[in-house]
Amino acid sequence: MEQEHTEKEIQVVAFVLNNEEFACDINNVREVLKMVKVTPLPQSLKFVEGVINLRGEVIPVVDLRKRFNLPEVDYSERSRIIIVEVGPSQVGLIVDEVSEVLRLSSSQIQASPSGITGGDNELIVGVGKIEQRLLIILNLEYILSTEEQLALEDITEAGRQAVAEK
Amino acid sequence: MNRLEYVDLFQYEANEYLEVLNRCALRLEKEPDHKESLQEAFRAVHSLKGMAGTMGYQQMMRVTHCLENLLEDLKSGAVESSPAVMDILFEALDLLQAMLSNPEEKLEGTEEILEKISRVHSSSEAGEKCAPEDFAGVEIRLSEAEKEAVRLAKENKMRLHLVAVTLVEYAPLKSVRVYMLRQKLAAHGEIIAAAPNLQDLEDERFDRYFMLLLAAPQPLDDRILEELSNITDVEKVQLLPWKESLLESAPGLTPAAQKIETVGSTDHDIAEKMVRVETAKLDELVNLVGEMVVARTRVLQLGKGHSEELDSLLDQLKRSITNLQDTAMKLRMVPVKQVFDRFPRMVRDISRSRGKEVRLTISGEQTELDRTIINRLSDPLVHLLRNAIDHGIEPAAEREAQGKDPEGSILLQAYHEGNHIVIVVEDDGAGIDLEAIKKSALQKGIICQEEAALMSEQELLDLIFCSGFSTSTRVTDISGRGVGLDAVKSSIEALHGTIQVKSVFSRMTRFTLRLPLTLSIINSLLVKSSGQILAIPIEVIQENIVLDNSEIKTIRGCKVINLRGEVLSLYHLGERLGFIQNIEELSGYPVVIVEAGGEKAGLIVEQLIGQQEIMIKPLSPALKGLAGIAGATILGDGSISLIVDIPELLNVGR
Repeated sequence: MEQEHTEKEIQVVAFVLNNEEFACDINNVREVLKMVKVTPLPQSLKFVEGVINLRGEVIPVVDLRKRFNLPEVDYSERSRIIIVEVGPSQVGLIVDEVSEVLRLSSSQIQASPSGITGGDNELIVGVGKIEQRLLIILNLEYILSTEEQLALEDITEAGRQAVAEK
Repeated sequence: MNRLEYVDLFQYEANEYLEVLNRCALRLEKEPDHKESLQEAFRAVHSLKGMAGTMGYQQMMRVTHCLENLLEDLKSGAVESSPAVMDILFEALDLLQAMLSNPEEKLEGTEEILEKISRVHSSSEAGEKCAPEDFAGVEIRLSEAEKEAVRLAKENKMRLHLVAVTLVEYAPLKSVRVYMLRQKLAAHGEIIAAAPNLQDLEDERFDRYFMLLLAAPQPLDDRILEELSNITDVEKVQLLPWKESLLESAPGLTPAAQKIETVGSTDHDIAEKMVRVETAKLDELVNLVGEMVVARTRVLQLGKGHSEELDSLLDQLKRSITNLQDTAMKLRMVPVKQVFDRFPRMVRDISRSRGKEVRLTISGEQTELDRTIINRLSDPLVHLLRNAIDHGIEPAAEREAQGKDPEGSILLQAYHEGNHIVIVVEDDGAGIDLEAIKKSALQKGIICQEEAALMSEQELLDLIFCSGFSTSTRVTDISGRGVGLDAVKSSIEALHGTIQVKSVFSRMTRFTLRLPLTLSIINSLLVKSSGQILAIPIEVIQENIVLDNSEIKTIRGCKVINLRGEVLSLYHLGERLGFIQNIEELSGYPVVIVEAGGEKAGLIVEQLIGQQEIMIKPLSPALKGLAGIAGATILGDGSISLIVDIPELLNVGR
């Protein structure tokens, strides 16, 4: 069982949000775009920024900063929209910047450290550790399906501790 | 293709065959001697049997097999057509329809119907048919080239053999058996012709009988015939005598056989002209073309004026893309026949159960409109037709007393009118009693006495579309169950269409439906509100006015205007949708007057941009529940504009 695990490897897209590194499974990612014009929607969920035109398709975008209750900043040259596929729908995620695509072997991933989300671990898949870097691997399905307020700072802190303890 | 896909295809084709069968049966009920219908029905049931066999649906095979016998008897005259026989036929068709949804199961009543059929069948001459009769439909017909080959073979002193093969019933892999037979025969001579032709044999478009014409140097002896019969699933191999008449220029066919041939060949032609395509692929194509159209506008903007050569090229590109768009849109169009075809049978059944005589006349069934609309048109039309039979057409005796034709008439008509399709459902029945409407509406509190006194005839008529309104006190199993014309109206409006009613008391009632040809492209008015460009579907717009601040009144905190004596609620469009508003003092703002579901209101906007055809893009399922937004569209410059859902908007916050 252990043996199998160490052989497993996943690829993730790493991105930055509020100076912290995050990642999501590359299998969910369709493409990465530079910032484009976002058409606002009325009375939608607070973190849904609006919709964008992706080659003729109308796709909703979520500002991950707003999603995680982080201070809002202006979009910059480095801002990106990660188009992800979650279930039947495509959604764009606005992030501060996209850093790289990484391979993580399962030995580098600590799966859902307990205590990170206060008992409810659905928000993150695990924490990846590459040398000094710490990547929070997000569970996209959860992020987009729940309307709950998510305080990410607590999570990153908890993740850091969980890895440090190990 | 996996089995599931086969099942879909089977369902689809089986439905088509059942429609054909129902149509033929209806015709035969009126004209028992209509040979073409009998022939067509026979072929349809035969194909259905073959398909059920391929799918391994035993129960369905049994029913279709019996039905085939019955039709055969009707064809040969062994069984006289009678209302009782027709009823059995209809019952069997209903059973088959019911089986479609549950093909693997044995439905209740199957045995009963099978027995009924076989009773009729056995009342005709009992006993098995002999072999030559089995081959009645199969006859070799030689083309000029094949005749030439026969002559050549005869010159070379070859012998001509007609090899008639019978496969066992429901043989699987028939094409393989044919191939093996041909291989074996080819060892002894040359196969000149086949019936059905080789292509049909390869595609398994035959029952279990086929014939091959073989030119061989030696006579075929019993040993060879036995060898052939030993091939799996081959029931019988016979040698039929060669007929010189086959060489004559007019092949020796009986008139009946010629008829089969011509009917069959048109079928074949159609098959060659048509392809079946998955609708998802069509939708994708239309989507891609839509993207191209958007890109075209951008390219034209950017490329203009650089060089003459580029300009003319761009012009050409623009034209091609426009044509491509037209063609792509046409691909989604299907004739209304798809829906209409079900109605004759339905009308027959309902009118019978009501003891009324009704003749349904359909016209314009080839009129085309968007597939998505067709699918959603069926229910409203069923409702209108049922209403016509139930409440419109009077019983025969009553009609006669009024000097009308005892047989009531319902007209179902479709035709194009500009960018719309018009569908008319008209009956020559009792018409609508305005007094009864007035009384009922008063009783139900839909209108008050004063209103009733002021209403015009048309306004009174239109009350039948109000929710909770129904004049009929009778409750039948079909109409009059509370869901009435208001449901019809709202489903038509959901399709961006309108419905109107005209009626002459004791003479006729006519419902006129107007629908857009397609749902994916609509005509809209683009407006600006709360800084956003929004699209309002044109058919809900009554008029545009410019309001002066002083004209706006307030009733209990709500803004209203008085438009020629009518008091309308007034909303700021962006605010009503939930955008953050930037209300400055309102003065001289344009107001769009909209109406939907009997609800009328004025929408204040910042700017009217203009009328434009837009392509509706659905919003992601992640955004469902966004009130007041029907979808989005992409404008020529690539930006997105939201489409306002007026009916929903007017009901928001109720």
